[in-house]
Amino acid sequence: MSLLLCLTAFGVLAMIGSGFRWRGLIPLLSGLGLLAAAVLMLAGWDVNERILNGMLQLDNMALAFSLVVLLAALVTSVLLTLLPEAKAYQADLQALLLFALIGAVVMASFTHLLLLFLGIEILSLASYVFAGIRKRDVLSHEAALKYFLMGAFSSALLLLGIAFLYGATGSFDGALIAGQLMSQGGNAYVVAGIVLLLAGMFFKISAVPFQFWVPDVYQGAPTVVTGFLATAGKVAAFAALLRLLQEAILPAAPDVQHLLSLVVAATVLAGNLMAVRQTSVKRMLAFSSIAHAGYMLLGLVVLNSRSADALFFYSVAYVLSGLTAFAVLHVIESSCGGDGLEHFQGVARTQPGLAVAWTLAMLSLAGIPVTAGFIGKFYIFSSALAEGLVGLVVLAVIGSVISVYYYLRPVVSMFTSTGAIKPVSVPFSVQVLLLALSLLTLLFGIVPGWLAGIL
Amino acid sequence: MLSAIVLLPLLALIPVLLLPERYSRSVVWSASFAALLLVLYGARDVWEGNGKAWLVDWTWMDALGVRLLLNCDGLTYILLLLTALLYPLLLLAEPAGRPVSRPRSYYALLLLMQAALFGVFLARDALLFYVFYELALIPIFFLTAFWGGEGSRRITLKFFVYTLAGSLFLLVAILYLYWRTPEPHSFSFEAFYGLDLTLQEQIWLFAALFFAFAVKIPVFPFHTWQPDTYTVAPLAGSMLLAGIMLKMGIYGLMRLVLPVVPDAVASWGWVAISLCVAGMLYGSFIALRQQDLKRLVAYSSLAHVGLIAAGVLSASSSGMQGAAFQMFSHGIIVYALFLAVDILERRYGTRRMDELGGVAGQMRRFGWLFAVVLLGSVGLPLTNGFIGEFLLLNGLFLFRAGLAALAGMTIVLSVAYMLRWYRLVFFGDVRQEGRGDLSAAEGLALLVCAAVIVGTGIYPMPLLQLTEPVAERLLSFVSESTAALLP
Repeated sequence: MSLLLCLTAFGVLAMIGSGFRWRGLIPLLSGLGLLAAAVLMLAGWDVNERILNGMLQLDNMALAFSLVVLLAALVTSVLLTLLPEAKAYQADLQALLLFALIGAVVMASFTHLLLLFLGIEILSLASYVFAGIRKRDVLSHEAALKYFLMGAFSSALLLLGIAFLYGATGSFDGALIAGQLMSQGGNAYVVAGIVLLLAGMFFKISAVPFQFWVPDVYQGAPTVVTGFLATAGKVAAFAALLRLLQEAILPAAPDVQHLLSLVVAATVLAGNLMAVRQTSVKRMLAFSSIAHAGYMLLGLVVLNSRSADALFFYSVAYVLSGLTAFAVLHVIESSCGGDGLEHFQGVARTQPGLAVAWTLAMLSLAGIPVTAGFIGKFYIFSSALAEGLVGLVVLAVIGSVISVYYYLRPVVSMFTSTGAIKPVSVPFSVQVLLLALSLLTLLFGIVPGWLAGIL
Repeated sequence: MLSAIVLLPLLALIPVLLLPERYSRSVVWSASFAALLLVLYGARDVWEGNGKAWLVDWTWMDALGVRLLLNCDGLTYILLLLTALLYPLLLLAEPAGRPVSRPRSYYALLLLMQAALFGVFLARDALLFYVFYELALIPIFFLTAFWGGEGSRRITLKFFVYTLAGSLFLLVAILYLYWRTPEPHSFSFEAFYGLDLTLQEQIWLFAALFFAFAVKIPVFPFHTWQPDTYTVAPLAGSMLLAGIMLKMGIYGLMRLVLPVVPDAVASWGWVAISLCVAGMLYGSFIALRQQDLKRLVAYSSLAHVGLIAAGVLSASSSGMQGAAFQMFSHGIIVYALFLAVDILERRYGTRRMDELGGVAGQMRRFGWLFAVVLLGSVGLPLTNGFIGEFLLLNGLFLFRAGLAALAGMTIVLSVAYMLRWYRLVFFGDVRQEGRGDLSAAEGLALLVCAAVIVGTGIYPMPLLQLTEPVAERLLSFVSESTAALLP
């Protein structure tokens, strides 16, 4: 409980702080809030606290995924201070960031389906606003509006699914629903409920066929925000999906795995194939994030004792390299005025450190040893193969091969210097962030034992 | 000891990255010499079969059963020796007075490459093997893409994606095998050797593993990345690719394919061998028509490694022994050939046969030394090429006489294209004025190669004895399984 209260308190403080003279300190305040939340999360490890009449369960799984989201929020909080267009509403944005984290914590720890809905809405509302913070930019508006309309639509599906399940079983509690279904068997309402519920979740994790909003929203939103949506938003949604499948759906309806397999195959293929064709690096990353949703979902098709662990490791790796990628992209965009491959040309000449960080992030996203991304992919594939999903793994492998091509293209561009090179300046805070993220990517790639197996 | 061999190049990275760029080369020099000494120092242990002293076994990822398992036997040793020997030669061969651009990154990548290569050959845990196997791809990608010639970026990207496709199938196969091992699951080679797999499983695994290694070797028709990549790569890149890296694929065939899926090799090996032989003929015929010397070496290498792969897959003791020996010989010979091409290009500014001529008169020492290398390449008796190819052909003959006859034909072809090279370039009309004979460094590098070619050609026993127990052991899994297949 103290975790949610702490985040709320800091969030409210940041919000009302905009009217005071100390508003310059608000980013610091929000950073402090995030650190306090991190301490509380670590303190709650192994405690397994149940709050709000047991509607939220802050077990290790919830805390682990919350910590990953918190990391993304922390990085985003620093990057937000660098956005010129966000100067005037710094306080609002920092507050929204803290509120978004509350949403993520609720999503990762729900046991009651309405709390799942609530968590998703808290995170989503903050995200809609984030996507539109560039107030004079039409694309940013488009992103926000599109995101909002699609998000509202998917939330409606989700809610309808919950209602159907409630009607069929008379309960909102995941475990109770599963027990009820197992004893009474399914009917049309149950099937409709599960399918609608999953459709809503697929939208949030951006799986095919609910991925169509991703490219435009990711491209229209400011890059820093896109980084947050692509990492924190996705990981929180996966934490929720993991819990949903683990407690409510898969025990009662194992047939769902056929549906999941189909979605995984389509998502991996669509994400990778579309990413190949992009010339805008930001759009490429958007499509590649769809492909990553496919790999992560692969770990959830059949759940076993390693699934949570594998998904967690993958999330950490994905968040580390995703944040690095978007941070570098933001720097290049603001210095070179665009996110095309041609804007990457010769960056290595003026900023070798930036180029190395980007290369490492791309290698990690592509799943090449000795980066965290490799271990994550290995973990997911291994856990899927243990359940005999050979076909899906081979498909995912083919997807990975395709991904290497589009991930390496900007890397090659960076090290190519033909023509005039625009100098790129990297703010000090970004340098520190990139160094830390890159080191962590390498660290978890070389000694994964520190992270693997904690769940 | 073993961890020291892998760690040495990685430790040397620190001074390369910290010291000013003008010291990079000297650091790599010392590191590669130290590695060579370290490997030579270990010779006696390996010779006496004292493997225990070399064993490294640390936990790495407990949750996943992955261990840092390194060991050295004769087969591994021969490849360590090749790697350790080629590195100083590689540095020796660099043109004097023309320093590489961005030396810090260049030498750092070379060191990373060496660590990965040592790791691949030493690993006894399949996942560790895979990690090193892919890790080796990163430095060579950057070396070739950014220090290579015209169009290198596009070509190298193709190379990277192609070979990565192969290695990801290796990963799937390894993971599949892992889950088939009894509890607690293990990635160690030994655990894989003991598996009782059905024929159906073996055939699928064989397909995945053969594809993975065939891309790397490369075996026809998975070779399309090879000629372009070898041609555009910088000198060090071509040498590493052809001299050492492709041996990773052959080594994988020996270490992971034969003992793990013996029944599949027995039933479907002929398809793979036919591909190898087809590639040999294909490579030889194309080499016959090449004007660009570097492309000629690339295609001839395609033919030579096809024979090595075919020898391994023939699953005969002579084929295995020949493959182990020929991996070493081919490494030295192809290194010398690439160096020779580069020496010509340095002086005359071209690698085209029709623009060169009468070199023997202008560079006497080069003419003599190159003749030795050439004889080794075509497999003349008293050179190491002869020993290896004889054993390989013998192994292939025991498998199918017809295939061996076809393979033997490529040796005749190799004589044709190599002698054409010698005739046109070294004799023939003088087309450009002389630019001086070999420099001391170039001469020394070629002399070492020629000495090894002749030395191991006359007295091959030490190397053959080194690999014999390993070859027998790996083959024992095959003979066991074929014995079991008989009614």
